[in-house]
Amino acid sequence: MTFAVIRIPGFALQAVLRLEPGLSRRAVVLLGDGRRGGVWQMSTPAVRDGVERGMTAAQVLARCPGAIIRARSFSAEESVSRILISCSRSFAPRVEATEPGLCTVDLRGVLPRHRAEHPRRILRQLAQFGLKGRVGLARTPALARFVSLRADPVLEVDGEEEEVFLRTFPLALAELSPSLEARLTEWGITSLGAFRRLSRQSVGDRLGKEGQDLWDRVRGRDSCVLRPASLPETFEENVEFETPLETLEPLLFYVRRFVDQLALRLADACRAAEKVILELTREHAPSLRREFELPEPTTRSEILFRMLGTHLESLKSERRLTGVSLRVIPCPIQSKQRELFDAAVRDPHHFAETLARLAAVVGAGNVGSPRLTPTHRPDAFCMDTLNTEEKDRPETAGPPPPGPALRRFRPPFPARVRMRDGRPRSVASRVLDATLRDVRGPWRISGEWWRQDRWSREEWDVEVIGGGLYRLVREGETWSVEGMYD
Amino acid sequence: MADSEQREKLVALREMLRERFPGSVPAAGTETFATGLPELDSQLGGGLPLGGMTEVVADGPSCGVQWFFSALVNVSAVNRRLVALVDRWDAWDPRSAASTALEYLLWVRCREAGQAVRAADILVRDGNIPLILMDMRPTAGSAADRIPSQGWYRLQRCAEQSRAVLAVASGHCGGSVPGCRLRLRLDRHFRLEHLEFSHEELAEAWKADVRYRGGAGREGRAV
Repeated sequence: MTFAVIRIPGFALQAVLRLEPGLSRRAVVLLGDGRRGGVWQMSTPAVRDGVERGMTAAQVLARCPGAIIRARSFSAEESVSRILISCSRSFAPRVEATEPGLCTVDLRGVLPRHRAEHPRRILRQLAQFGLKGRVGLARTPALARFVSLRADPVLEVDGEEEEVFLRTFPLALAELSPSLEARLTEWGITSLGAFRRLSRQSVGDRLGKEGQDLWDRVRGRDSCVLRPASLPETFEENVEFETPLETLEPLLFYVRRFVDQLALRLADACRAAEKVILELTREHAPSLRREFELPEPTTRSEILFRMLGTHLESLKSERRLTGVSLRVIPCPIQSKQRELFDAAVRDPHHFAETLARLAAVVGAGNVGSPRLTPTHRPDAFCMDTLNTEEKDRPETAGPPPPGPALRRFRPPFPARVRMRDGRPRSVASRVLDATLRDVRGPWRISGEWWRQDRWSREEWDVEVIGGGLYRLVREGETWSVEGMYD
Repeated sequence: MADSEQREKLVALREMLRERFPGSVPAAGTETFATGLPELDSQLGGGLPLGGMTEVVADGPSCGVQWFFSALVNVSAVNRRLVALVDRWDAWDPRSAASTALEYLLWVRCREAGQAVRAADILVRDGNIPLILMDMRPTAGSAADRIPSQGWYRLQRCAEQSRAVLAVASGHCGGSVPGCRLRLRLDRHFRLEHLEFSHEELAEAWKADVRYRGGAGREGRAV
């Protein structure tokens, strides 16, 4: 067996249903060409209720009042096609996207034991994405395709079993054109095995090229050259919801599916995710977009999902969500060896998740590494991202500043200060109400005179009777207690 | 029963439990986190205990708790280790540490006690940051937060598992963090002249009364 065909039966219907697993046991009907088209595919319960292909929606509801009607989703089908190609590539590198929902894999060069193990592994992988597949293995692509039609879920037919298999293969399952099938049925040919016994010349004379092509396929004389599917260039998944979402759980379900799909495709392309872009479209409101820089490129879906899940759990929106888009910016997979005494963060992904959780608790602007801004304005700083890479941090720490640390009151407490001889004598405020033992100052500082928010102030360091050092500040005529030296 | 007699019985009971169930009660760790303050490290036998909580208590204002935390930030930077500060009242001044040391600091600025406890819990469980400082002291005019005991015990257990050093300034004069392995009491107020002291001079002037919990003490009195 040198070729495998992996197919997803009811491809268009499965593409829609996998995102709505609650409908898997219901009678579901898929309309082709939008909701005005006739029935394209239907689920097994719908078939049992008498729904037929080509029926209109009204006819379906008349036959089966409880039927769920859905329109084809081409974006969902593209997504499933990409999953199928990526899963097939885990079998062998030469994969052809033969048609939507069907891939042909060239097994030449694959070890025999892998040919036995991989089909079921691929089906398990597809099942993780909510898809049911079938795998057929045979010596040519066309024969493998026929075999896949009868697989349940894996079937291999080698050279000796071909004739037996084809003898019992009904024409109705062979995906023939209606005219060809009708002609053959007229002749009393009901199986591919019977057709195979005809001569090629006579088939060509009577049925033309279509008949000859079928004869070549049944005899295993079709072309074995595959058109390899190209590697994915973009890594993006998106969906528009059938009904707008109001709660988190269904959104997390979609995001989880997308993350798993994208991780699979990244691994297939030997790429890792270095950045993730999440966009949520909302009803009558601008979409919410967020970019996530990963501390280290990764292909692990659980890391990506935890990062997105933490963000979504803290997200609030007054509008319902109408769609979600997830895009991954890839980079080559890097391997690096840490140094023996490397003091960098042990687990960057876990730490990134920790930072996200902290941001969810206290707010994104309230967690990070402070940076002094280049100004003399008091208490001027900004919050930056903590640098977790050992090599990017300064090699040596500078000397610590002299004196006790200032414990700031944010905002400063207003105060009434009684002066004597131009120096503070006592202070009354919410933070302290005392007579001063000793006072140093004033230190007059000002800055940024060219700006609207220019500042000018007078600072005093005071010691209170009974213990305690404080900084008093006068701006204009207003006094405040800015902090305590501790 | 007199307090000292009661305390001795408690210490003896803990030692007996430690001998009977060695796995359940972690022994006084020989692993420590050096504070960079020679006298304190000498008293502590190397530094703050790894995998345990240390409570820092001040007897009044300007006793040096903030300075001690800033010194720990600086010594972490010298050793190229990350340090986290959970700041309950958003009172820390970035200029109290060397500017290069700020690159090693993760500052979590909170608005309420629940945020601070949750943030500390997240950081201790993470295990990537070896030193976590919690400043729960109220600004004057506010009451000190009452954190339920089980909250502190949970932090203590997480610190034991992650081997992090958790130093807590609770703001309660008598100490209020149950389960802490070590308590440092600061009772010397800074004076105005200390504003001009260098870091080394202040380190000599700053003093902590060291108290251990249970039989873990090498020196100093039991909690």
